[in-house]
Amino acid sequence: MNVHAENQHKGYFCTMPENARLQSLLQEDERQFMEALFKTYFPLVCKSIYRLIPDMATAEDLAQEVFIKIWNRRDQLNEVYFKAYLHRAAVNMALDHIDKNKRRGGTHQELSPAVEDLRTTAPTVHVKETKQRIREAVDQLPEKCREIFILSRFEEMSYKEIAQHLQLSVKTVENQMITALKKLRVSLKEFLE
Amino acid sequence: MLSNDHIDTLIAREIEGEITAEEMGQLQSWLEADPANQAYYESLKDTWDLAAGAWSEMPEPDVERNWQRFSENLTAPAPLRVVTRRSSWWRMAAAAIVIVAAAGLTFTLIQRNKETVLTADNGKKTFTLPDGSKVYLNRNSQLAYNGSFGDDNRTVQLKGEAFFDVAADAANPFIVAAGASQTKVLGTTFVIKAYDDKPVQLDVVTGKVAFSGKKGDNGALVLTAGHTAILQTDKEPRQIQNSDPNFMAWKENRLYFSNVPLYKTLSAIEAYFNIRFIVSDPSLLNLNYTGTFDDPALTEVLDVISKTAEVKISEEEKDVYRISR
Repeated sequence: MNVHAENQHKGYFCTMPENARLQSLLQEDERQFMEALFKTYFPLVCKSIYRLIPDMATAEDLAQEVFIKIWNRRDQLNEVYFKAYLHRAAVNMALDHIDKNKRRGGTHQELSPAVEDLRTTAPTVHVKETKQRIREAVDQLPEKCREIFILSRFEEMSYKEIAQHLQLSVKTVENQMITALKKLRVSLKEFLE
Repeated sequence: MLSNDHIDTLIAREIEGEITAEEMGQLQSWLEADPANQAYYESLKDTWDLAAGAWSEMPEPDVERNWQRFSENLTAPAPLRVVTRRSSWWRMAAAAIVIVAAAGLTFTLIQRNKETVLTADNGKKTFTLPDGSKVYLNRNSQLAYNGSFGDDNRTVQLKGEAFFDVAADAANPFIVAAGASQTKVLGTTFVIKAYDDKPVQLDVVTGKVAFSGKKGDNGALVLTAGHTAILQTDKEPRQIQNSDPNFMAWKENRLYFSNVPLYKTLSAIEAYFNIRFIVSDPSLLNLNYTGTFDDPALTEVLDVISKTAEVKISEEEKDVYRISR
């Protein structure tokens, strides 16, 4: 991760650390900066959103909005560590979207109990389907429980950060984490022998 | 004796890695007290580990395609908008509004015997559909739906231009087929416009819609407020910048020009009044024009433009006007 002066003449794709490269691009050429930023981090942003909102079209759409906001704020980014900033923006975008949906009265979580039973008690499972089943089990968690579990397990956020994001106490986050693990332990027991 | 809740909290903290030495000591002695405790702890840890694989094979977004979609906005000088409010009228509508201009329409009807066809030949008309949705049809426009509309589908076929105020029903999406396009409504209000020999155009004012071509939902472009997309024949939809503030003039009964070249002013007036202009001196077309007309009458508009732009406008034949110095 060293910045070698001799590498800089090779252009932007040298061994400069990613963030410094993006920062210098931002000063030199906004458009090139945006393209580099987008192409480096769009998958990360998109996947972070997708884990919370398991619909790729919506995830891509919201990821686009994250980058639109970045572009509109491009003159205020000179102190930013982009990867963390984008990751946070992605999580916020997804959580806002879930909140808005909830206020409108519909979320993908509101499956009927019958559907849930079918999914969680389906009999034999092939190894290939394991990951799918784990995803489904996580998706079946109660809404807040699911959000907290995903933020902790996959978005590498501390309980304190999660508590701040969701405006909950750390205690609640800890309780919900254990609730999530207990529920998953039951619905995934066939994989936990 | 430690309570189970307290132990759970310690396990949660241990998993996070934010456990104090003292808490770790408590957890350790609890684990050693009973093999069942150890089994409980391990099952939760195993669950945590197992969950890691859940998204290890998630779908990869198409970065190039997304960059294309994104970069088309970058050429625009104005800041990109996530939400656009073009007028107070729309603020009250507070929903998805869409315009689609469609090309090469084939107007096929699935259940001819049961279908309902609504038409607006010369004037604008308002209809209420069986599901409670409202439709405002512009002139020379036609809307059709079959007998099962409202039961297991809410699909309509549009030829021409219409504004939809769609009744909410999350279980039964409202779909408008116009030309090669399909617009699936994720919000509640929108407009579709469809003219022959032009690309299908979709303009979202508020809310959100999915816009697709031949590939159906796989190639769908999900558009949010303030964004515009077009669909050319045999292509997939793509996002463009819409700079026409008069795209809803027919519905709002309002023409708005803010320092725009006269050719843009004239084409908006042509579309609004269904007339044609002939311009003998092309240099006139680059004169800039500013003005707003509420519920305009053609004679009034022509009169105001001829005075303010200092041009002569004369009627050449019915619905054809010549503009000269």
